[in-house]
Amino acid sequence: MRSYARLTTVLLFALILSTACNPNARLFNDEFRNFTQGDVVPLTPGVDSGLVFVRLINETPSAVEFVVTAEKQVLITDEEGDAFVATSVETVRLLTIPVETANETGALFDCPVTRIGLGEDIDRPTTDAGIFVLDPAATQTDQGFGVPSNLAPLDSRAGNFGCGDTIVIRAITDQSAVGNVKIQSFLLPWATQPMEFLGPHTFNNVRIFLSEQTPEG
Amino acid sequence: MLAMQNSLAASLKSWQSLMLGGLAAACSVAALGCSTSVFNSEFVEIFDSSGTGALATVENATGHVPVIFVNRLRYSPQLVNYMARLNQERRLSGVGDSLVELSDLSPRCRLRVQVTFENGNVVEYEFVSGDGVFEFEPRDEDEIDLGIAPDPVDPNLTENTLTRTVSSCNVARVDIVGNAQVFMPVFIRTINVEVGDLAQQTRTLVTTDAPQFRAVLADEVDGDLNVTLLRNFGVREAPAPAQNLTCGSMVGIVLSGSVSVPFTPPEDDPQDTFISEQDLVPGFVDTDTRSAATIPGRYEFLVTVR
Repeated sequence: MRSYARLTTVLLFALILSTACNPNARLFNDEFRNFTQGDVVPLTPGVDSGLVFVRLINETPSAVEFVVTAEKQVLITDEEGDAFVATSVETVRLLTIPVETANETGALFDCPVTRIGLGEDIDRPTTDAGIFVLDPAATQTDQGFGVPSNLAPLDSRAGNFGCGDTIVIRAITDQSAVGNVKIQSFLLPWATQPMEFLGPHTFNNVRIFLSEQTPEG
Repeated sequence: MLAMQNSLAASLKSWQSLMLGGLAAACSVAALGCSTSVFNSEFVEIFDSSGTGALATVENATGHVPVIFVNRLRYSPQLVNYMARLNQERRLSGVGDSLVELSDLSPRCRLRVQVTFENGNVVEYEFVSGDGVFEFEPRDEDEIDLGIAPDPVDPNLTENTLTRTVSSCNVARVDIVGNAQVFMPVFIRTINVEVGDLAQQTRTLVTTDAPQFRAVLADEVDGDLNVTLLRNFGVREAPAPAQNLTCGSMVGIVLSGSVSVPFTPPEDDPQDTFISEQDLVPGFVDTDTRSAATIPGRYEFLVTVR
């Protein structure tokens, strides 16, 4: 009897390992599987998509608007044909609601991106508002306060992120922080993620769609 | 018999404990081997008292649904010519020293999109895209006396562009809510025409609308869906909702078309002389509802899911 039990345990052990790590096994549902392995649909754009994904998570009890700024170096040619490098800045404001799933949002930026940070001026992370926290009791969306992110901008030249990566920015409750909100940043590099997917190639589809929308397209 | 029962019970007990132990071990190894966030973030935070976030983790998403807005609007050739004249007279703002040709400018537009998650929660985004070009207020005292509207100090022109958002799974549907809006960059005059006894026309300025966002409206139809008033897009071309979305799919919304406005002779038009296209101004006669209804142009929506 004891040998049967041992055999069953070994088989069960092998089954769990194989289904957790084998890309072809489908014991677990897709959501769980993507959560652990990321091979059902992509979690990073991947370098081929030419995009950087900034994922924003609000884990506070308030609605939070994230002010995300991406800085790029662009080559400009003036009227006399002289080329010079200029800095181009793109800022987006994205609102999150403190209810499940609506508390997450994100933005996509075209590569190459030099720096990414919170706030209109990413060089002033300790003074400029990186997020806007809405008053939970507010009836108007313009009632609230700005909170500096206190996060230095992420710099691709310093290896903080690369094209195709996912940058995660999270707002959490912290009683010791100004506004009771603390901001954290994380990185999910595309190179650590699977290359093949069972489901749609989300970000490659975005790239293909965008390339089809040129005036000539 | 009793000894046999005891033996069986002991065997079952050891089998159970082995099963439980094996399960726990297998789950732990599987989680450690394949997941990037084994522990919940609060637990990890205990070990991260420095506040640097170095040890903190964040859970992977189950997938994402990007919603992409593409602005493929252009100004009509007649409007481009008129704006070129304004630019020469230094009455066009937003062009700056740009080398971009006026015809290549992207008209400013905005539309609201509602993302509905499978759990019923919703979040709304306002997509904004395009250049903030607009006609200056004429500084001429006479024109001010005529009641021409003041400068369009519209904060929406300085609003940040937003064309790409990403929602986390599971998204049930994506809808365009309300009317899309297009920024009409020039003053539009409403003119009253009175015909005298000798068929001579007297044109007077009724109102002048400052540059502003204008709603893109569907054509008016009768009960049989026959068009009774042509507005900005056909009822059959109304934007469709993107529904039954799967995790990992993307939604693309394309707004294309031409920003246009009717042109009319100005109110001080001398009736006895030939009027060229150069002399026409954006506007319409107040009884001409068909021309008024076509403002701000003709458009098409395309919603795709991939």
